[in-house]
Amino acid sequence: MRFEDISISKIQLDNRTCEISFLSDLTVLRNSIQQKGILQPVHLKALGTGRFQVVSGFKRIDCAQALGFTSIPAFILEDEISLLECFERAVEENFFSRKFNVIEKAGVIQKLEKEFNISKEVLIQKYLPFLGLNASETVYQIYKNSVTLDPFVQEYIVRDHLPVYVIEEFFKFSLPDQRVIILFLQSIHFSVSTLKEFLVWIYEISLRDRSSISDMLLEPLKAIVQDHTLDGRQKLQVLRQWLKNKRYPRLSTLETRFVMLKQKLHLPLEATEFFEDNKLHMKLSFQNKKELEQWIEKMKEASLKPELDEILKIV
Amino acid sequence: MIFYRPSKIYVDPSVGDSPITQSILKTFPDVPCDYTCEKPNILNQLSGYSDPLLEGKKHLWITRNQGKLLKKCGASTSSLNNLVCCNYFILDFSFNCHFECVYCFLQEYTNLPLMIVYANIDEMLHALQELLDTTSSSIRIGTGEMADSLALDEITGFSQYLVPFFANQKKAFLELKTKSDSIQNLLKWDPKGQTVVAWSMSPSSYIQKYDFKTASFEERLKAAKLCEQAGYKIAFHLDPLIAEPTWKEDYQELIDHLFSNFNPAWVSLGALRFNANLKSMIQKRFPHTTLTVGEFVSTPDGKKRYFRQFREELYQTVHGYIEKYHRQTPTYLCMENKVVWQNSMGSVPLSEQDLEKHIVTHMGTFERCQNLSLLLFLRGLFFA
Repeated sequence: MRFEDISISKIQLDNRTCEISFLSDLTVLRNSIQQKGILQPVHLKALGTGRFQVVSGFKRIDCAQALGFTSIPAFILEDEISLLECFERAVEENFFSRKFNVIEKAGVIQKLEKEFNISKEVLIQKYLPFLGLNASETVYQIYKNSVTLDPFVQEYIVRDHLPVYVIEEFFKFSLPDQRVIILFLQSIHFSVSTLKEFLVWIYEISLRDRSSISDMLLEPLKAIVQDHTLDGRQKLQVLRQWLKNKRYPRLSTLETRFVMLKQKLHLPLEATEFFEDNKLHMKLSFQNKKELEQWIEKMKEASLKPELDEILKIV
Repeated sequence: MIFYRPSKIYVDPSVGDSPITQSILKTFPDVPCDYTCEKPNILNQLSGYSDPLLEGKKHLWITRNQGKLLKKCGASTSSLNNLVCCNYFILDFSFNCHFECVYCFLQEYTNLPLMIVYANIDEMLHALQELLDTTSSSIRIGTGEMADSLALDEITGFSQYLVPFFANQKKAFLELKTKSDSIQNLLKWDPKGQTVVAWSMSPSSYIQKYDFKTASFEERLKAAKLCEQAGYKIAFHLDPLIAEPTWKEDYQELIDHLFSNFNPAWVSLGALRFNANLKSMIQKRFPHTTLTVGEFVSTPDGKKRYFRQFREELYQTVHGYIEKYHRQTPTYLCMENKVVWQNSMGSVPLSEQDLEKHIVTHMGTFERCQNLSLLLFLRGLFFA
């Protein structure tokens, strides 16, 4: 390996075989190069024709070119080093200097498979552990599927640092549906857990009712999101309740009825989660005898109301 | 029904001489066979397949069951509070099933996803005899918990050992639970009233939709009729009960079919349930199935079930259909708590022994006298 300043015009900029980065923010790097030049040489592979292929340093070269640099410091890997070895070096260099996002790891796996014809067995046994992943078919499938996601979904995954268990939910949708979902997600922000719930519910509703995702998201849910009388948190609550009513119609009806009866009884009654038990619970707090007597009075009043019989029937 | 044929057989030499092993090898003389004391190597390679379960089932491992040969039904060790059990014993003669039922818990249950046959039949019969020697009351012993009791019977010949063994017992009943129509071996024996062949039953369209590779509804009914004619008692497990949009009509029709043709020894009801892992597995293996999109909620033991009030409606309705035909047919709920029992069946068994006694007593009295009033008296006696 030798060190040289290489003219950018001799570099094959359109050959992105060894590129790994996905969705990089080049602002910081560009400012740094503008102020201090290129501190870390790029790696190039000599092609024997006086031209060079980029092994690592795509972002540095892109920034340097945009800033008007004509040459760039580079370590030159000799022609006899195979392209696979170059790619492995690129992965290694990137991997030890920063954390790969899910789509970058998926991209590495895809390139090894498609461009370097690495068998699935070798990928699972050798390269998944190399990328810090478990050597299993399941993991392999998850990353393989991630590459096939709509690019906007991929971008969303990276920007929101979505974990694998949420990413998997996107696999269930067709590409057009993914696009519809991602457009919808631009208008409302979910936490990771609520996003998973949202994806699970819209999928299961569409499967059960044989309805299209776009019908569901474009009409009733879009109206909620566009309701300017609600703040972001309220929108999420209304949206979640709408979906829950749709996904669990009978249970939701029961819960709504329970809340209504509870309010009429003026007691802090609670049922077990999903009414699995048939008991009602009540936790009272009081500071003195008078407050206790008030509770007793409320309970007496409640015991005479027909709503008590009804709420007991519900549970 | 699709019959099982392995692509490779592994034999533990310690059971090489077992008649079960010999029967299997005789059935598949052309299938490659390895003798090995170790777990088959294929286990290390299965994770490389897109469906390790499907691949694993192509490999048949004949070995010795080194664990407890007889154990109480898993429901009795469930973490669910107030679970009502039926004092059922399980003989593990085999593990895994070549059928592909969408809801089957075996999909997520094991890290040994091969077809496993335990060939130490002598030790099993010995363990059975030991249990029976120390048990005072009548008990039911089944083989259909971790495998279908009969799916491989024409290959293994297990029933040829179990049915005659139980025919000589007075206080134990063998239950062979199946979705197959592999009954040819059964027809060779007189069970002397001690073997019950129980079919898992669902409405015909549900079987087509969810019970892949199994015997069809009609095939199951035909097999049941042949078994009944050969002297076997017949039972039905309506488990899982699945709440398709037309479930009321579908189960009405099912009960009409079953009870106009049979007088079952017992019927069990169990609403569809699964844990989170199984749900993922089902969605992965059967991506377009609507099985998991019902109104399921998490219950205290970690399983997803239809919410309680809906389960109660399912049980009440189906039990109502049954009662129109045979009020005396013992009907019990599987993996359910006392609240659901009370609300669905109108009573709760005092204990698992009482429930067992109720079921078994019915079998005895059923033959000796068809006296409805006595049975109703017994029913009142055993239920709180």
